[in-house]
Amino acid sequence: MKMNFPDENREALSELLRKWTVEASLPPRFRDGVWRQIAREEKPGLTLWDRLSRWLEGVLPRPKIALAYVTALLVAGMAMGLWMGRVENDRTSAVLGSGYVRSVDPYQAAALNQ
Amino acid sequence: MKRSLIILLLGLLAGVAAFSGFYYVCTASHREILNGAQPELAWLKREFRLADKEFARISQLHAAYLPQCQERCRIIETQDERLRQLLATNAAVTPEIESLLAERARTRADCETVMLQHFLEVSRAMPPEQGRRYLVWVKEQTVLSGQGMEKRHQPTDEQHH
Repeated sequence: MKMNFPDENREALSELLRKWTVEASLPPRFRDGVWRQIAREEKPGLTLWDRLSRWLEGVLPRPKIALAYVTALLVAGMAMGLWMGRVENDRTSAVLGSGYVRSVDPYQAAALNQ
Repeated sequence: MKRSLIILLLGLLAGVAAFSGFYYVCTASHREILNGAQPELAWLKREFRLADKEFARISQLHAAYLPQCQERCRIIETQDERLRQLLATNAAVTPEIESLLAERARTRADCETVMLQHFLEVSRAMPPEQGRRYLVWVKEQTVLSGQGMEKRHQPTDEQHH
């Protein structure tokens, strides 16, 4: 949409824009990030892996996300370790129980020898 | 990318370490039992929460019972071998086979009697509640273990109606 300003307003606006300076500082490596993003956008046909790695690259370095990710894997590892340990203990108990039965029951011992 | 990769690997490493640690600690007591001199008895001690004194008594009973058990094992194997030979050479149930089958049945009865006496003795050396639990379990595993087969041949309720 084209806007028609009177000439004196246009001059005033131009003057104002010339005087305007940005004082807020940019985050570190902002410029690199922008160029990297532009370069990526220009690449056609991104694969799923590219998208995933780009997503990880954007998300994972954030401290809260990184902490949550490491904690989640830590907790999952603990839970799996406990669960697998219990399963293994049950299996060992069953083996030892059978061993005891074979040691006192001649029929089961004989069946095993045959 | 390098930072993301480091975080990614760090997470995986933490997960693997947590898994290994918890698995190792959780299975430590059972590993110790398995590596012991008499794992079956050590298992019995743990499973039926026996005190050292009770365990010593049960180990004594077990040690006294084992030679008899081994002797019966030898008899059973001899009888089974004889039966195998007779069945291989005879196409009918001969008096010799009949006699051997009766002998095997007697051996089984004797064996189960001595076994039950041993189990009762062991259960008496345990705390009462654990003794009862042991008896139920050990009878199911030994003298009553063939009942699964019998149950399969029992008519179901649906067949009755």
